[in-house]
Amino acid sequence: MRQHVPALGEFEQVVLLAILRLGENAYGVTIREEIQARTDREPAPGALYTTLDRLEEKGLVTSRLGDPTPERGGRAKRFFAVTATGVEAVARAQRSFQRLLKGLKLPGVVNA
Amino acid sequence: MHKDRIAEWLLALVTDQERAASTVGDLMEHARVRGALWFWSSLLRTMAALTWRSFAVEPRKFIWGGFLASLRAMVLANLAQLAVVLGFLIVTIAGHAIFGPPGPVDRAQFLRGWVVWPYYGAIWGAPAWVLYRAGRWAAGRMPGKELTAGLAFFGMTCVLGTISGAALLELDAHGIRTPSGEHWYPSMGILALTSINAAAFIVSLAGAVSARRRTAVH
Repeated sequence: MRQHVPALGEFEQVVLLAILRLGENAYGVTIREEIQARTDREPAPGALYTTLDRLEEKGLVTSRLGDPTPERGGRAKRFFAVTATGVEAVARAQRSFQRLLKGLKLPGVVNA
Repeated sequence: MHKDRIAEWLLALVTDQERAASTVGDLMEHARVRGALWFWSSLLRTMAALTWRSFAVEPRKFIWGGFLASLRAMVLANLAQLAVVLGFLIVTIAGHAIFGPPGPVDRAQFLRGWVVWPYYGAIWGAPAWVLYRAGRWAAGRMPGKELTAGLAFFGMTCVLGTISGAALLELDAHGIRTPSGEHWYPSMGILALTSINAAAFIVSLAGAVSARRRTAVH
C-alpha cells in the first residue's frame, strides 16, 4: 500500500533539505548553521525545535541520541535523519515549485 | 544550582527530559559565542514556542481540561474554606461552653493569640492544598507537559474568577465596602482576583510538576 506523503510548509522543506545536506552530522546547532549559511536567514531556536518535533511526528525524520559531550555540560546531541517518506515529501514539494516556475519569467530576475 | 540545570528543569516543563537536555546542550554550544543573554532569551522563546505548539495541536482539550480543573478547584476550595470556618466555629462554641465567654481583648492582642494564626493558616492552606491537588489532577488528564496544563488551568481560572468576581462586585453599582471600611470597585476586584489567580497558578503548577515527577519515577 502506498504510504501517505504529507504536505510540507516552506520552513519544513528548508529544515528537511538542511538535514539531507548535513548527512550524519545533523543536529540542532549544525541544522541552524546550515540554514543560516545557505538561506541568509537566522531561524529562531523555538521555530526550529517545534518544526523538528512536528516533522518527527509526521514520520518525515527520525532522531537518535549521540554520546554526551563535555562542552555541552555532559548532554547528548540529538541527531536527525530524513526518512524515505521525508525524501519523497520534499521531492514532491520541490517538483510543485518547479512546475509553478516553469515558463514563468520573473521581472528583473535572471535564471529564476 | 548551575544555570544549565535550571534551564533544563524549565524546559522539561514543556517537553520530555531527553529533548530538554539535548536542546539545552545545543543552546549552550551557541551561547559560547553569543553569550548568556542570548542563551536565556532563546530558552524562553523555545519554551514559548513549544508551549504554544502543545496548545495549538489540541486546543479544545486544553480549554475543556482547564475549565474542568478550574471549576473543580473553585468548588473544592470554597468547600474546604467552609469546612475550616465550620471547624473553628465548632471549636469556639465548644470552648465557650467549657470555659465560659472570653473577656474583652484588644485587637493586637487577639491577632497575636494562638487561635488566629492557625485559623489564617487553615483558611488559606485549605484552598492552597486544593489548588495543589487540582494541578496534579490537571497534569494527569490533559495533554502536553506541566506548564501547558498549568497555563490552561490558570487561563480558565482567570476567566471564571474574573467573571464571577465582577458579577458579584457589580451587584453594588457604587462598589462594596470591605470590613476595614474601604470601597472596592470591580476593577480593583479584578486586579485582586488576577493576583490571587497568579498565586494559584504557582501552587497548581507545583502540583502538576509533582504529579509528572511521580509518574516518571514509578
